[in-house]
Amino acid sequence: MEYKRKPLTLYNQIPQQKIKKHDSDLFVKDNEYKITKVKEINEKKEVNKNIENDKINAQSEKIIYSNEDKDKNSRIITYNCQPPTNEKDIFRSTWINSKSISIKKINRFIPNKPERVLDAPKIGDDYYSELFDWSLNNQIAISLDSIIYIWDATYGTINTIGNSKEIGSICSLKWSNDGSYLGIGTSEGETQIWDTVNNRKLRTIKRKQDNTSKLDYKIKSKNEEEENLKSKNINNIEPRVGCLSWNKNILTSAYNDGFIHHNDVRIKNSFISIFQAHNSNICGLKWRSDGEYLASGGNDNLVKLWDLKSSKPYMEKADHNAAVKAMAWCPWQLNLLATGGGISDKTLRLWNITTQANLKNIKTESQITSIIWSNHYTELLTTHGYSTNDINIWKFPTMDRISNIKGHDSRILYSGKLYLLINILKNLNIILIFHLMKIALSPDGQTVATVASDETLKFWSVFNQQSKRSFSSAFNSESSNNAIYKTIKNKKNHFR
Amino acid sequence: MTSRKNITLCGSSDIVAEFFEYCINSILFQRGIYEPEDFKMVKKYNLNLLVTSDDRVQAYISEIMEQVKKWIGSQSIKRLVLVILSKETREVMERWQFDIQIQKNVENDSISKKSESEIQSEIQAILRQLTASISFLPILEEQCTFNVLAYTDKNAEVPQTWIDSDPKYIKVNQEQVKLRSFSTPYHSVDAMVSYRFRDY
Repeated sequence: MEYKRKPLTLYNQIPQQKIKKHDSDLFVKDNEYKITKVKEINEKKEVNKNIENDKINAQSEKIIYSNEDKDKNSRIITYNCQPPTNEKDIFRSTWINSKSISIKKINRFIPNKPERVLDAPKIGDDYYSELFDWSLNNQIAISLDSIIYIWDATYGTINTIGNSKEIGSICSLKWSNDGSYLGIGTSEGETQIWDTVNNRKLRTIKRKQDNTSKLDYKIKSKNEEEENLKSKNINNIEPRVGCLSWNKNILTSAYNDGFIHHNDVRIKNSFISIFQAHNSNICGLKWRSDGEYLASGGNDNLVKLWDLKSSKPYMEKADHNAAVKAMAWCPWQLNLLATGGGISDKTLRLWNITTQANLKNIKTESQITSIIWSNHYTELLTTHGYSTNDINIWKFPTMDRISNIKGHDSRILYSGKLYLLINILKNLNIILIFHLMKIALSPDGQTVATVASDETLKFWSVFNQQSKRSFSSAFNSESSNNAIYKTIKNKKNHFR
Repeated sequence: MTSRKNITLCGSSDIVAEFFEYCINSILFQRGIYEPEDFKMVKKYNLNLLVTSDDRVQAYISEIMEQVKKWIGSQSIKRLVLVILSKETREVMERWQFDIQIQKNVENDSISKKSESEIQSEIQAILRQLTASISFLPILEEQCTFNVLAYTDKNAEVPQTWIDSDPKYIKVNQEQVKLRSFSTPYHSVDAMVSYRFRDY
């Protein structure tokens, strides 16, 4: 029913009941849909504008009186118990239930107890830094309370390098691909390269101002004073180096303001390029083993792929709903990249970078902090932070969950963040660099190490190869005649 | 015509109590008292209805409904009110009121011959209307909780878990909308929602 307005009729004559107060396609017929305005109970009468209003008031008063009638004749009672609260964990903001994923059995034993537990007191509790790495020389670098410890997994010896005065506050650690040099990123924005054998700093790379941005400043600033002020400001807020990644002789640092800086460490003027990759903090950075592509993940929920020569991304994906910290290249299928999202995303995604297709996405139960591919099995391993704090192993390509290890004790649940550090020993001369909170590696591809904010460092031999060469042998002194160890010794001095 | 069954008083109170249970569940979902992920869908009255899957809420509602069913059976309840009130200020935001009337002349042919499916379609209509009414109700901007009030006879049997209460009227800016009603041979239920209207 539509009321047609006749021109020049008096406005007041528009029939009142035909004006809908609330228009909607309700399942309500016109005559049933009656909104009555009720005056305050104590209030008696008011000067009314028209008869229509009077009628409504009369009606409403009636309703109230009838209410009161019932009130008088009956007893009003209530259930003496408060209904359950609707408050939930803060992180249950997502409306999608995380599905429980079943575990599929495979005919391989995956231990659910750590092989070895080391104490890691005062491990930095920061999602955006990487304070742990495992080299091809079977050495673990870990930063505890701003001191870098080098633990040799072969001999069990512990050394420290530098001192906090020399280095500054450490945000990231990364061994070079052959394991002879250690790259250190600091919160002062410096990238340092250390020779750990001689405990000597080889060079310090300062961030080079982006040429274009410099130009911008010049154009914008009206006088020198202002320019000085600006450059001062820039110096004051020196962005920290949150991630490092080596590609043979190229060391790439990512800053927390979204810039990526490439350096060729062989030559004196190491600068290659600097460009803005993300709009915010970069938390994942990883070169593919052949050095063709660099994957980066940011706090802006984007995954981007770059090659060395270009500042335009080769691929850009916005499918994650949270910061992308976990990323890993598949060692046996080069065009395969795995990425995992943070607390509000919880999704593990696999990408074919050639076709740029999202091959799989698996909703996990909690924040993904890191991903590692196995070298020997077609499997990948994810570590999780809040709230499950566990380790999952997935079978590729079906992506069945084949193991779930409750890694660290419940204490982590309350500390909120989990820093898992995972490490795989590899038997190839390729180093996978794991970008999670704290991840590193070592030589035979069978053992994974995790570090959590319960201040322990745990080793898991989840990719064990029938105890033929178990990880424990890596800890024994016998393995010093380890073939890999030797080759690496011979391969030293790549860098000058 | 042979499919018509006579509904007993007991059956009638079961229908009414069941209706209340689904009503409360729907209102809790529609008004966002609990998060949507805590509800699951069930088929009832030829409708997809949402009922809570949270054990605590389930237990709470069924505890109430058990008592209400007894009162309906003994015909000592006159009105059931679901009050939605602000968690912080305890101010009443909405009142969902269900008046229960006892059919005086049960022997009256027109009512007593009502079949179950007719009753069901009446209930269906109310529940549909209840869902539709969300579009005109003001958005509940604060965290809310709920309370169930029962208006009983003065001499009704009241267990210790229930206590006397004030009627919890909406103090200011009240508006009310009458919803449909349904009836069984023994009871008729009128539904009404009143809410706090806000001037913007």
